[in-house]
Amino acid sequence: MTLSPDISAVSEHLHAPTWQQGELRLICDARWQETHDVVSFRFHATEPLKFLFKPGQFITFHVDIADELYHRSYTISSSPTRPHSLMVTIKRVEGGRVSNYLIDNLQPGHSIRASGPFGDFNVVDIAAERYLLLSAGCGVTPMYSISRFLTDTHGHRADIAFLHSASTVNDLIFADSLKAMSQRNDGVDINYLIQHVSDADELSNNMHSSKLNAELLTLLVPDFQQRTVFVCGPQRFMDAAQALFAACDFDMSRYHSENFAQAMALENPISGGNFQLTVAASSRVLSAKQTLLDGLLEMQLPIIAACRSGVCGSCKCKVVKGEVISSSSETLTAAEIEQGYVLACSSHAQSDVDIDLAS
Amino acid sequence: MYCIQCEQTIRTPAGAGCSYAQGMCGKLAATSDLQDLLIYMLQGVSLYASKLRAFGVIDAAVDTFVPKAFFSTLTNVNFDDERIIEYARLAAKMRDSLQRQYEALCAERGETPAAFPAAATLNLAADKPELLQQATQAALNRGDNLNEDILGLRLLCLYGLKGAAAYMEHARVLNQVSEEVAGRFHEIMGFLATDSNDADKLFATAMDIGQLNYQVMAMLDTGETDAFGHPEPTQVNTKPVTGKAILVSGHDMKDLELILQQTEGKGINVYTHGEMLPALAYPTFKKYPHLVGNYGSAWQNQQKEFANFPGAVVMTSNCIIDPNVGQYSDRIFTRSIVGWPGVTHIEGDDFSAVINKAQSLEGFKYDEIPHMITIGFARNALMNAAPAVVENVKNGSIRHFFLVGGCDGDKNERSYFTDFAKSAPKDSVILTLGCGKYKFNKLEFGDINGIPRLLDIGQCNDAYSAIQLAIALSEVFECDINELPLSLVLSWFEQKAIVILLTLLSLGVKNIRTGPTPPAFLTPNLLKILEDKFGLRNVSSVEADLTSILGAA
Repeated sequence: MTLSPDISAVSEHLHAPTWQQGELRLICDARWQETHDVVSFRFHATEPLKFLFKPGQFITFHVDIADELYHRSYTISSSPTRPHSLMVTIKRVEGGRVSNYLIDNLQPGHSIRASGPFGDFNVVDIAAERYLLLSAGCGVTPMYSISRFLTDTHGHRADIAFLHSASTVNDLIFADSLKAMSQRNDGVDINYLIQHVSDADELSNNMHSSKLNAELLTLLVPDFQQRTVFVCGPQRFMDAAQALFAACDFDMSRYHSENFAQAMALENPISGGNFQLTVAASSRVLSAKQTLLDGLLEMQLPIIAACRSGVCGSCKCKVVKGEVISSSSETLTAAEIEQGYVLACSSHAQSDVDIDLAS
Repeated sequence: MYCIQCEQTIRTPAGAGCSYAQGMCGKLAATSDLQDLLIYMLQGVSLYASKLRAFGVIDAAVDTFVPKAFFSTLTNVNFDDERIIEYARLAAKMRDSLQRQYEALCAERGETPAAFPAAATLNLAADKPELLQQATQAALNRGDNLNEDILGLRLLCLYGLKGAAAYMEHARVLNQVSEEVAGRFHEIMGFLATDSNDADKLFATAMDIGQLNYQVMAMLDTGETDAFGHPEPTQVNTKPVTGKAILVSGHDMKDLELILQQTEGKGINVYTHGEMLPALAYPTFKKYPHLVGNYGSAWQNQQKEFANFPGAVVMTSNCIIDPNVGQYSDRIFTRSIVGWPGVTHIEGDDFSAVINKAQSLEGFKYDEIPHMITIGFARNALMNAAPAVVENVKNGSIRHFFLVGGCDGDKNERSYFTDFAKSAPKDSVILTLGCGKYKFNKLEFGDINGIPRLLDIGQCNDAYSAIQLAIALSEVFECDINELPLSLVLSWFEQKAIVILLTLLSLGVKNIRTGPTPPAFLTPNLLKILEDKFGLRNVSSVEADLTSILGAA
C-alpha cells in the first residue's frame, strides 16, 4: 500500500463509524500463537469501523459447525483505545467444540458472525483509582485489555498491580507486551506466579514459583486492601482467590470476578452423563454437552434466548426437580435463585431435570 | 388423487396415502392424476415395444423416452402439468406408431394381433379437464374390491420400477444403454398394465425389478467412472468462499461438467448441493479450480439453503420442492425431467441463462471458516483399502461395519440415523451413501489405524460400490454376505430407495433395517412376509438395534 500524502486517508479511518452494540461480521486479518495452546485472532470489520466497548467486556461468536449453530463468548483482549481492530485470544480446551474448531480452522481472510459487546466486568462500570488485576491462564485476556486501556488513557497515572498465575513459564500469555507496558508506565507492576518450575527455567525477578497465598499477596501488593480487585481465571483459581480475600477480611464490595470464565471452562461440561429433561408432558434426553436451552429449543418450546451467553436473562426458567450447574446467574435476584430459577443457556443438567416454563 | 409413493405420505387411522387436494410433497391433485395418466400411457407404449421386440424391432427413441418420462413422476421431480401432458401426448404418439408397426408386422406374418390391456388403447382427450376425467381410469388404486395386499404388491413393483427407470435415465445421459435392460423394463412395465392379481407373480416381479436395477446400477457405475474417472478420497470444503456463485443440485454430473466448462474464467464459483456432493471426488471435476466445494445439505433443507444462496441454482434431477416459499423461483433453473410451473427450464447444453443470472446476483461477500469433510470412498478406493480393512478385521481392530444411508427427509424421527452413527462403537466402521449421509457426515468419527471410521461411498446409486465391497469381503472371508460383520440400516424416502432395497433383497441380503417408517403401501401382511423371508424390519431405538445387531454378531 502506498501512503498518500493526503491526510484524508488517515481521516477516513479516524472518522469511521463506530460500532457500539449489535451483530456484525468480522474478518480475521491475522492470527498468531501466543503459547503452544493459545492463539490470538485479530479482526477488522467489513468496512472501516471503530470498535467501541468497555475494557473487560466480551463478544459472542455465532459459529455454524456441522450445521449446528454454536454461540460462544470470548473476552475482547484488545483495547478500545486502539479501535480499528478487535482481538480475541483463545485457548485450546480438551473437547472444546468451538474453541478448538476456531483454532484449527479460522485463518486470515475468513469471516465470522459476532454480536456484543456484553458484560459488566469492565473498568467503565466498575471504575476505580487503583486496581489489582488477578488472573490465571486465559483469564489474562480481560486484564490485558484493561491494562492497555488504562495505560493508553492515563499513562503514568494508571495504577495497576497485576498478578498473573500460569502453569509454566511457557504458558505466559502477552508476557512481552506486558513487560513493555510496565517498562513505559511507572504505575504498572506485574508479577507472575508460576505453578510448575523446572531446573532449566530462568525466572526473572518478577516470577515467583508459588501459588497465590496471603503472604505473597501482601509482599507483592502491600496496598491490596485499598485496591479494587478484578479476578478472572479457571473456576478452581477463582474459588481459591475468593476464599483468600474473604479470609483477609477484604471489602468484598470491591471484589469483582468474571463469571464468563466459568462459561469458557464449561464449554466442556463437568458431568459426562445423559439426563432426561422434562417440561410438562414432553421430555427428551440431554447429552452431556447440551445446555438446558439446547434441549428446550429442540423440544420447540416457546423460550426466548437472546444473548445465549448468560447476560440478558431472557431464557430464565424454573427448575422444579433435579440438579443443574450454572455458569451464569446474571439478572437473577437472590430470591429467584433461591426459588430455583436458572438461565437455561448457562445451565447443564447434573441429574434428570424437570423445568417449569409457566411460572 | 391417490399417491402413496413416498415416506411422507399422509397416514391417518382411516387409511394411508395422499388423496386430497394436494400431496404432502406439494403436488396438486391434478398433477398427481396427470402423472397417473402418463404412467398409463407409458405402459401402453411398453406393451407394444415388448411385442415388437419379439419381431426383432427395437426403437432406441422409445427405449429412451419411456424410462425418462416415467422418471418425471418420481417424488419431487416434476410439478408442471403442461410438461406432464406433453409427455403423455408424446407417449400416445409413440404408442400409435408402434401399434401401426405391430399390426403391419402381424398382417405380414399372418398372425392375429394380441389382445392388449386398456392402457394400450386409451385415446387422450383434447383438453386438460377431459384428461383429468380420463385419469380416473388410470388411478393406481383402480378397480373394485381391490385386495389391499395385491395393491401393495403392484405398487411395490411400480414404484420400484420407477426407481430403476430413474437410474436408467442417469445411465443413458452417460451413454450407457442396454437393449436387454430396456427390453426387460418394457416387459415389466407392460405386465404392470395388466393389473395382475397374482401375488406370487407380483412378488417375483419385484425381485426381477431388483435384479434389473442391479444391472442398471452397474451400467451407471461404468458410465460415471468412464466419463469422470474413479472417485478418490478427497477433502471437500462445505463452507462458501467470496465470489459469484452457482449451486448445482440433483444427481446428473454431466450437467455439472457442462456448467463448469461454461463458467471457466468467468469469475463464478460453482458449488455442489445434496446428491451432487460426490462429484467433488472424481478426477475430472478436480480439474476445475472454480468448483469450490459443497453448499448446504440434503434436499429437504433447500427452501432455506437456496433462499440464502446468493447465486443461481440448477436442479438437474430430484428432489425439487416449492421454490416460491423461499422466493428464489426467479433464480432456480430446472433440467431434463425436472419441472416447476413458472421456473425457467433449460433444454440443450447452453447454460448462459444460469451464468447471466449468477453474474447479476451478489454472490458471497465473505469467506467463511472452512469446514472440511472427506468423501470419495467409492468402489476403487474401497477396493484399494480392502487389504488394510481385512487386516484390521482379522486382528480385531474392526469389529463391525454399518452401512447407514439412503434418502434424507425432514421428519424428526430421522434423528435416529444421526444418533445411530454417533452411537456406533468406536471399533466399527460406518459406510454411507445417498443424501441420508447429511444426518452425520460433518461430524468427527476419527479413524481405526488410519482407516477413517466414516467412509462416504457416494450417491444413492453407488450402493453398487457397497455391494461390490461386500462381495469382495465375503470372498476374502470365504463366507456368505449375510455372515459378514456388516449391517445395513437404510433411510428411505422415495422410489430410488425402494428399488435399491429390492436389489439388495434380490441379491439375498438379509436382516436389513429400514426407517424411519415402513412404506405406507406395504400392508401388515406384506411387511410380515418381508420380515419372515428376508429378516427385513423397521428400525426401533438406537440402543435396542445396536444391542440386537452386535449381540447377534
